[in-house]
Amino acid sequence: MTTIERTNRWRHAFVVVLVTSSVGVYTERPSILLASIIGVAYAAYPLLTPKPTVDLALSRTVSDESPEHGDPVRVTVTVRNTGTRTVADLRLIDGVPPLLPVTDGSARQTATLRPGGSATVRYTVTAKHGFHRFEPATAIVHDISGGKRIQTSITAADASVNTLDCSVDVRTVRRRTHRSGGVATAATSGRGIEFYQTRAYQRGDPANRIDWRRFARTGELTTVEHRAPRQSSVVLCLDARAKSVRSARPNEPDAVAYSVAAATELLSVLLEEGYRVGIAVIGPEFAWLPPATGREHHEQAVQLLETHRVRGSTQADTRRETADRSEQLHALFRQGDAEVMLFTPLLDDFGVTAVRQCEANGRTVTVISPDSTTRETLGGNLARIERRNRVQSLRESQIPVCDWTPGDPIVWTERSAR
Amino acid sequence: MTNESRITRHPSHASGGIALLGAFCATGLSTSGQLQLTVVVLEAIGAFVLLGSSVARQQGKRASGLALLLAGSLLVSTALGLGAVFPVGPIERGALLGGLLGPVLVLLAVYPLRAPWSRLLAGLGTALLVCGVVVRGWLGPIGRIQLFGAVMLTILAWDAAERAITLGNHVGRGARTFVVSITHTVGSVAIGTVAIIVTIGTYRVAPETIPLGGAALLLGSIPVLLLSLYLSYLR
Repeated sequence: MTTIERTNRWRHAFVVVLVTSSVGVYTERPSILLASIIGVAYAAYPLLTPKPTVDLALSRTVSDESPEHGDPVRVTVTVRNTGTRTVADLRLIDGVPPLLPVTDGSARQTATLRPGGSATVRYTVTAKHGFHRFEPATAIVHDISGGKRIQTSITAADASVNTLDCSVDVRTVRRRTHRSGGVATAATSGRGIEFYQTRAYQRGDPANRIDWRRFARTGELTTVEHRAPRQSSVVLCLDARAKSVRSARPNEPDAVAYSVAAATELLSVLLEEGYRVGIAVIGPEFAWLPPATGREHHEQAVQLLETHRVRGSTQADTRRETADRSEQLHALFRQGDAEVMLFTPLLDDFGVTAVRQCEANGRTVTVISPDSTTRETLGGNLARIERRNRVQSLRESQIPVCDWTPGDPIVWTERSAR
Repeated sequence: MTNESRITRHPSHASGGIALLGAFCATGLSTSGQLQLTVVVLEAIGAFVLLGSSVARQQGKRASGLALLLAGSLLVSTALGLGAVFPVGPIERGALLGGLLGPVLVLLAVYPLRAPWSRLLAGLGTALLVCGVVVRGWLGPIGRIQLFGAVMLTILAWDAAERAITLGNHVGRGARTFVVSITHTVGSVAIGTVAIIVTIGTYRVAPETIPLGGAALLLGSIPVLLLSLYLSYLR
């Protein structure tokens, strides 16, 4: 979006004109009166300068497009004036992904660009788990007088790097159930290969399903039915409540962002293994995507998860969530009998309560808990101890809990496996 | 959490320095006599020492920052004290004090203790400078070219201070802003210089023969010209 506005800053010169002309006339001093001409010239300055133009092209490169968690990534942004007029005052703000802290340099720079001229901005971000998308850069251009301002967004050229993929290592995940993959059998007949039952022949039954041996033996026509194969369903349940939007340090992503990174990675792995995967988000609003498979479903699921990655929370959200929490869990239980993988930082009792309710409703449940506590403060230490107690409590109840420190792979230890 | 938390949204160094320089030059031009100029130079040194204390504090050198702060405050206070006691009449004393306080307020505007006060302090500092320059022009101790130059530099100081504030808001104090600041300043100085040449030319036409009322009428016609320019600009 482009906005053009007048700053009207030179209107203040009229105050100088007013003072000098008044004093000049009153004191009958021609020199003071004529000094008003200087003020008038400055007041007319923005009217004499042409409107600034924004013909800019932007390209972006990074030192590593798939960095490891914690790696420094050098970003180089080059902006070129493709117009025919000089850009006197360009203020460029690169669209750094919101969860990546700039640790060296600045993503904001100013430049004066002649036609064909270019300027380069270099800065370093520290990679954090997740799929990070660079947003369009913002260019603020003033004319030489500063009287007119154009603000616009510039999208990087096609060949530029617009994403950073810092994936979570989930190769060693050993799941508690369905270790043979995402295919199970259903208690209904269908197109499978496992024997289910025999029944009397009905007109229209395929000939290859008729039990010919029995017919030869008894003269009765019977049809053999096989058990229908069914894909196992898993629901990735994200705890995106305001209380879970907590980070260990000010420049660190919060627990929900880490949960989204882990859930996105597991989503791909589970879909590849043949599972039907659904998404449930418990937060300010309940979001639900029923279990399914396929590329389109994968994209929908990723999009749903991404919308909760950088979502801010307010006090009003917190109050509303307390009332809605149980209702949202019941809404989840009404959506079939899929296994639940709960992503929660366990910073309050919600995670434990949710697991208990899942078990009570006959759901198999696994907990993946990103650690967003810190040892650096007294409050952080207290939160860490409380969280550790919750992890212990769940493990004592034979619930598999993956206590995940961001930066490490997600893995079930022997102690956490049932 | 965003990387925005790292941006220091204080006025930029380059334009801030230009604003200070403009303010002190304006005060220096409107002084009469060696002693008054010495007082202004003393205050300018104090102000730039205070500037150094700000830079030292940013670099984490707390002890040297504090020492520079004390030294700068002492110099500025001494200069203000001299400005308060040295001039003969109360009007001249007021004019010199206004001229000395103006740059101090500009300094506080571009290196603010509280960022929201920046614009207010820049405005107040400019107002004091304008008052000081006009009063000195009325009292007659300075030449007309000095007067025109001081008016131009006062406006230039205000312009640079405003630019320092907007640059700080947009790109933060840490960004490189030198080239942009210089480009703007060159433009503003060019306009001011042309205006001064026109003013001197107008003065040399023979101002004694032009009735003051007529000149006032001429000035009154200027808003009409500006209005027509503005209307064409809107189109």
